Amino acid sequence: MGEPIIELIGLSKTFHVGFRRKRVDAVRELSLRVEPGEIFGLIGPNGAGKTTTIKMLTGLIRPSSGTMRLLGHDGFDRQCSRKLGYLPEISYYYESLTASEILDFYAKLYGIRENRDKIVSQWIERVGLGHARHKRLGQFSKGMLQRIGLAQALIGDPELVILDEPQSGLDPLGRRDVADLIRECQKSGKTIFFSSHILPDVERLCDRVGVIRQGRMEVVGTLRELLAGDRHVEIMVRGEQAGAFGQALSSHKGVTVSVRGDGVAVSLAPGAAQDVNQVLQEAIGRGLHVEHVMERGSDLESLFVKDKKEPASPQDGN
Amino acid sequence: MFLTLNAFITQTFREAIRNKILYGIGFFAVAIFLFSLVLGELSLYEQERVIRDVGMTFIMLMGVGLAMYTGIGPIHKEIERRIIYTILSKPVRRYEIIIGKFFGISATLFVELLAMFAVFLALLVMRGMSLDVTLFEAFWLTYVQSLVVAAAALMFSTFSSAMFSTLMCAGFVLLAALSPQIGLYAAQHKTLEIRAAMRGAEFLLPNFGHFDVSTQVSYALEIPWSHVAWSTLHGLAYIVVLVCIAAIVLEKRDFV
Repeated sequence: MGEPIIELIGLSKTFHVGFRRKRVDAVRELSLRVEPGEIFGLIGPNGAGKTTTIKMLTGLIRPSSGTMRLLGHDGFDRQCSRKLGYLPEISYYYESLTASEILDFYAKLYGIRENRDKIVSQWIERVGLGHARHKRLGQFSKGMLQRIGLAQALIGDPELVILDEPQSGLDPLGRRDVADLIRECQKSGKTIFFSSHILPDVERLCDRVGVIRQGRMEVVGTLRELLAGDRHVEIMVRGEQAGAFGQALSSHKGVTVSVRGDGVAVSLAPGAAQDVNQVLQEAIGRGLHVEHVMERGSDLESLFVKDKKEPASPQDGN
Repeated sequence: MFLTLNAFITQTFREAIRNKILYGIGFFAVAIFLFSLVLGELSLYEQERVIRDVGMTFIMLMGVGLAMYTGIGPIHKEIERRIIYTILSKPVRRYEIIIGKFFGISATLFVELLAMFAVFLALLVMRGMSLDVTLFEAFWLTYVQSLVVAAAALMFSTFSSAMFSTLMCAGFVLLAALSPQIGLYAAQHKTLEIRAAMRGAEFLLPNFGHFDVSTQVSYALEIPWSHVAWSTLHGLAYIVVLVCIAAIVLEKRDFV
């Protein structure tokens, strides 16, 4: 494996707030690796430390301790900012500038001299704002501002794209466009690091996910790894003898039976005493109708809301 | 670096010049100039003196007000509305933001004051009054003074809210305007410590007395070029110091 795009080792950020300078540990001993070309999702409840982590990655705040390697550089510097695109959580821009003027401004900050007008124009079209290129941002909706935000993050053709809640404020169509854009970025070799509260989008997009809570990285891993513990097979059967069938199976280890109308659903956990074939043979033998056999797993949401005392994944830290 | 500065200058200028409040100020300026004509009519044999005096004093006051308004806005707005997040993550040095903003503010102030001065000159010509170099020198000194105020406003806005920046900037302007009196007081005071403190304050603050040429304007007296040059250098020295302080403050700041 090559050099990671992001490598954080024991990164911490402490604030001293209020008149009494009360100590607040926003991020504690956070360690993380993000490999080139992957889409990494950072999730966690409000105040967990997601935005503070992102602000350290983008040079807005300086870490209190720990090591941060970003795009092959020690810490955030001007060289690595050339290869970085960032969309903040809440996007506000200069209200009296037009869409093309604002992107021209950001293109200049990236040092783009050649074909700047063409690049600006391309990005306006790419984020679906071709009809509003000469409209002032003060007249833009929240969704349109989010699209401008994405365009300013990507206009410098960065290697690493950091997106803080990129889909917030967008309608379903807009969310799909953003998801397409993120996938397109990955296809063109970019690494995406993003935080989101919209968990289905994280599930759909991310190669790996990290769950942060109270400033600590609780778990990091692929979705398969994180959700593997809760995977089970569900067999739904109906028929006259369904009740008796369920009762006979319920005493076996790793088997859960629940009654649903005139049928029963048999749930087999990994390593259950009965396997799928045995259960199916038994059901068919009793003349029951097998309605479905499907693999089910918990989703990211259940992992997200899981009691923090309960370890959720095989891989801790990373 | 030049492309980055160009980005900030253009953006600051566009933002400021498209601000609707400025159009209101423009109408107000025209109204005041017309009022100076009325005052001139009321003062027998002193028409020209009164019109010149009121007109240039008004431009000076507007210069200070506009400098505070356009000086505090750019950085304060970027921090409050978090626009600065998208800027600091780009390959930009923090001092480039301050320098670019300051040049953008300078260009805005120049256009605004020039527009007012042009209206004022047009009124003088319409009244059959003569134009002289003194008026142009006074305009230049007014502009330099407004740049000093804008630099102070920009500096205050890097570490305080809009309201505190306005209050501190108003205090700065007041003390700078009283600087000649502070010097006189220092020379006359018997206590060594107070004299030293007064001298220190006089040294730290710009002396707006250098930019005050209202007597010369009223009576169309000649202003020596050496005075204009020296006052410009005096203003520039303070601008450089204030802009540097603003850049250092921004460099040290975390954006929580």
